[in-house]
Amino acid sequence: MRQMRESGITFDFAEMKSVVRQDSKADGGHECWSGIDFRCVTATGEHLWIEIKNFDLSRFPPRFRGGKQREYVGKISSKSLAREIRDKFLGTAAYLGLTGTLERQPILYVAIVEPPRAVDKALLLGLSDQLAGFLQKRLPWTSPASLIVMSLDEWNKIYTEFPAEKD
Amino acid sequence: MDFQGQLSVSTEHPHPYHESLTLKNFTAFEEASFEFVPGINVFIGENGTGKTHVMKVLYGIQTLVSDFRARKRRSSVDLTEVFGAYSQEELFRVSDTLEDRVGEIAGAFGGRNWAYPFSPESSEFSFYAELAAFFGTHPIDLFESGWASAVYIPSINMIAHTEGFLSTFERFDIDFDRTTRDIVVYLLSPELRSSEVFIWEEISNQLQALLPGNVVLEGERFFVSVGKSLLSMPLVAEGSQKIATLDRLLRVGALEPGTTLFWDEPEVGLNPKLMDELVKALILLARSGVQIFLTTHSYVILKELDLQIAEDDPIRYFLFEPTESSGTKVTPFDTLAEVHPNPILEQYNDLYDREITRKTGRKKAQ
Repeated sequence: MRQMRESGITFDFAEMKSVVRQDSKADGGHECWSGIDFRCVTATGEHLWIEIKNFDLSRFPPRFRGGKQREYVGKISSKSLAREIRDKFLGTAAYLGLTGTLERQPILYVAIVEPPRAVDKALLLGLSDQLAGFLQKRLPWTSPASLIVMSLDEWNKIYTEFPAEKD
Repeated sequence: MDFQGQLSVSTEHPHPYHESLTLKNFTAFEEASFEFVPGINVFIGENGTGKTHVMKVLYGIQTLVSDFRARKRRSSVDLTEVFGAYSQEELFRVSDTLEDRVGEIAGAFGGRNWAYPFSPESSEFSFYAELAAFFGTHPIDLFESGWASAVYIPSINMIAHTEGFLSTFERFDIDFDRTTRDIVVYLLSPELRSSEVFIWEEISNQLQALLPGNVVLEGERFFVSVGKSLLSMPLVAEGSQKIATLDRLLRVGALEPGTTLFWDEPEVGLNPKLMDELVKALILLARSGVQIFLTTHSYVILKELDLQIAEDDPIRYFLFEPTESSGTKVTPFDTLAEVHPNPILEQYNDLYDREITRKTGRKKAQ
């Protein structure tokens, strides 16, 4: 059982062919600059890059919840959440490109966004489209990438062999 | 045919408003009941489930009362005119058998109940005339304490079609219903004196800021002044026409505390960016005492309402669902989150699921 925890969510990656925790040297990553959370290759060869944005307030002490809620609303309304998720992708892509370790495989960038309250899929779809717009102009050194934003619930329904749960 | 009218307890709300409605064997409805809120009432559902019909019935009733109040005599407004129907027969539920052809339209407005049974066989059928007679027989002055008019904004932007419309409507049998005529009458009314105008100054300023220029009425035709030139309203963006319509209704005094606003699909032609301000204006109107009825197919309108509404703002969502017997079932909800099944959201869910399948190459586990 290979469990990896990030932002209050624990993933069971036992069925993954490989997993790199991007910000940890010990797990095959680097600490040069900010990037995505996980680079994974599934048993069937899908390359998944995973970024987790967990705004679930229950994991914070009550006195911090108001601030976290405001942070989420501010990020959504200013599009800074979309930019932050984009920058994580570009950070990792840049590092791998510069070190010559970027594999020329199609990548699916999965942003798992857990908002403070249950969110409509329409908003996830909107965020996906916004991010796709940001990433549309593919730089020559990046791999062909597509992107989808999903909630943890959606992740568990799509990637049933890699279950994840909140603390 | 007698009205079974009686007084009911008065409401705590400062202005009379549509409190309830029951429809039996009327258009899409075998039987349906509504309990409205004085604030914002939102009708959602598939096409052909009768959302607009409910608004038109309510509008017709209120138009009658306000006409009667203004003229102190029987009103000549006819339900068929409001619906644009050829005959009363068309207003009966389509699949009715002959034996069942007795319908009812009943409700409560301003603390007063009214009810009217009808059938298409009645030779003397005149819904509004009878209703006026009914109100007139009561000794109480029904028309004091703020009975006010109703405004119906149809989905077509009549502000772009005002020139010559009224004379054409009065003289020729054209295929426009009464709501289109009434809105043009309001739009062409003179503006209030500036000292009168503006209980709505804040809202009007917000709306005008969204327009490409000032709205100008010359003769019976509206223009927008852009720089030094005037642009005819039909050349202005549809979304701007919507905003200009609402602003004009405020400036001519058609909307006041105690009036009712019916708006059929305000999202038609409106860029989603403008919906934020439009919903803001509607909420301010509701808080000022305008009862509002909306039909919508727009996720953005619904979401804006959900995000902007305060906890103590009265709002109710009515879900219109087709039944197996070709009728319509209506279910009320007090929050958007409770609305289930939400046909608008379900369409987005379906789009999202298809997008996930396209991106991941996988299908969701059920």
